[in-house]
Amino acid sequence: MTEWWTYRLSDFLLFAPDTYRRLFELAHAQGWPWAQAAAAVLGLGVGLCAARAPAQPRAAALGCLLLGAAWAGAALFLGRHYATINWGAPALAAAFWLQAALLAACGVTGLATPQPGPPRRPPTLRARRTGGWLIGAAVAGYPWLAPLQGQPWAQAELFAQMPDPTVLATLGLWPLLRAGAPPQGGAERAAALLWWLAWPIPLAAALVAGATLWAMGSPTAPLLPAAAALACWAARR
Amino acid sequence: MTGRRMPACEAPLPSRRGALRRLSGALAALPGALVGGPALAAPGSGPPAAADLLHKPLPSSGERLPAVGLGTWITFNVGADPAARASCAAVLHAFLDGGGRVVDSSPMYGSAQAVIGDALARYRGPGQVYAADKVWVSPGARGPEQIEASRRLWGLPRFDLLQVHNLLAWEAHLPTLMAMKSAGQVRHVGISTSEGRRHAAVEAIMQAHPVDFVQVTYNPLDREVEQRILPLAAERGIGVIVNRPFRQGALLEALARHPLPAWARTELGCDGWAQYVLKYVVSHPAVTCAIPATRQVAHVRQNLGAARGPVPDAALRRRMAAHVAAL
Repeated sequence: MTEWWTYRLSDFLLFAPDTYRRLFELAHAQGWPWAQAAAAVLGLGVGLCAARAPAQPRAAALGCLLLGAAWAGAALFLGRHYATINWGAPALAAAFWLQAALLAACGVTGLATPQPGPPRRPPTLRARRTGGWLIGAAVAGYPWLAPLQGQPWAQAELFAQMPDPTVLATLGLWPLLRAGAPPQGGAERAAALLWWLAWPIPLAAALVAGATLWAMGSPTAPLLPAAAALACWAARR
Repeated sequence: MTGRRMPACEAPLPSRRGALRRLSGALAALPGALVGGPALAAPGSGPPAAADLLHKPLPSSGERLPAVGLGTWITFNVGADPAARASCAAVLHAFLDGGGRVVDSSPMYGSAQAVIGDALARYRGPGQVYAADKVWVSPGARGPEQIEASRRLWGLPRFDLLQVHNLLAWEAHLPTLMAMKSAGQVRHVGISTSEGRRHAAVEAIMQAHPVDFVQVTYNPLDREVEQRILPLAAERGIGVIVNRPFRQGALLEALARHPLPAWARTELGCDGWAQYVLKYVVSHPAVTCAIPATRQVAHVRQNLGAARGPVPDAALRRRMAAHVAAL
């Protein structure tokens, strides 16, 4: 692309905001009621796992598995619906499938680690509070954004069905899962490596979502980039 | 020119309007005589509504096209949404029924090509589409494959016009398109750019290659093309398609805060800012047609209305541009 400096963010937006929001409506109509029920179960499960993750490594591992399933659900949305209006969506869907696989690997590795494992420094209070708020916002708060902006409930974005709340929940869980001590054995080293590998895609997805919403003129555009910054801050030791 | 809509209570014609009418009549008597100039004769076929639309000749072939076309950027990219597809179909059908012909799209526009194809397959009216699409892929060797995929989406035997989108890989695509034209696989060949980008390269291609069309951005505020590209198009006998006449709606939103000047209604027959802007664009002698995009039937009819009624002369065009610039 030449004269790239002459392009604005909006030049890359291929669709109208109402077309984008209609995708959620169509996805809800197609999946009703099982997709919504599955999303609710996954959201509840991730919330419970996050609450227990600081003390119970197996809860953290299970949380990763559930989150992996949520990313698979969001990848399906990208491939089936978003791809109909955005030729970049298949690449985005591939990234979501990769993230789903990484999260599943995190979960399996965590479950495979002998229990009780080595002494583990618990997440900081900052990580617990930030993580809890972000997960709560993703699962219970995000669907309210549509009606609060004057859109119908049918256009609400659900965790495990749509990308943005799924990314937000991941940003919340991640600070809670960071190993407190340097890895000792092979399984711990693998878990630590997976933690780092599973970090870039949610961060990048948050930026992409923010840029897309910004180009559409949505007031919610800063939410995910701000949540990503908050999660990075919360994950610091 | 006939068919101008006039409110019943409108005052008698002012002298400028009389002059415009005389100008219209004189131009109508010179079909195709002026290269790139407005020719106001009615087409020989198509829906009845086409009869009073301003038609302008494509210099390379003399073929006359309605001065207002239909763009599909963003508006026709609605995916698989059945309700939105029905809206787009209604727009396209109203456009063709209203005498419009030039429909422009690109493989870059998401699902727009498929939505057009869907709407055309359902069309049963007398309108005739002039199918303008683009090739937008690199490397250039993949051009024929993309063009064939686009043709299938439109559901047509061939395109009327194929343009190199944003000059992407134009060195490879242009020979391909020229060869297709020679083989009768496409009628016309062109290049496109938007928002003032790569004008130097556009000029160079216009100078060196026998393209039929160039597509550029032009409106009362974005007038850079008046300096070199439009005169060059007239000189070289190249048709001009104008994209983003409304700056993707932003220009109309800004203008909506101001009242339409009374002289625009009385002397030009404009019923709103959209017609004002379109009349300014298509009245340039070098411009063949503008391709505003919309997803509303009322708007497409209003846009087509800009191709009816008086055509502003050079003095009135200057006044139109100055008025918008001063707002």
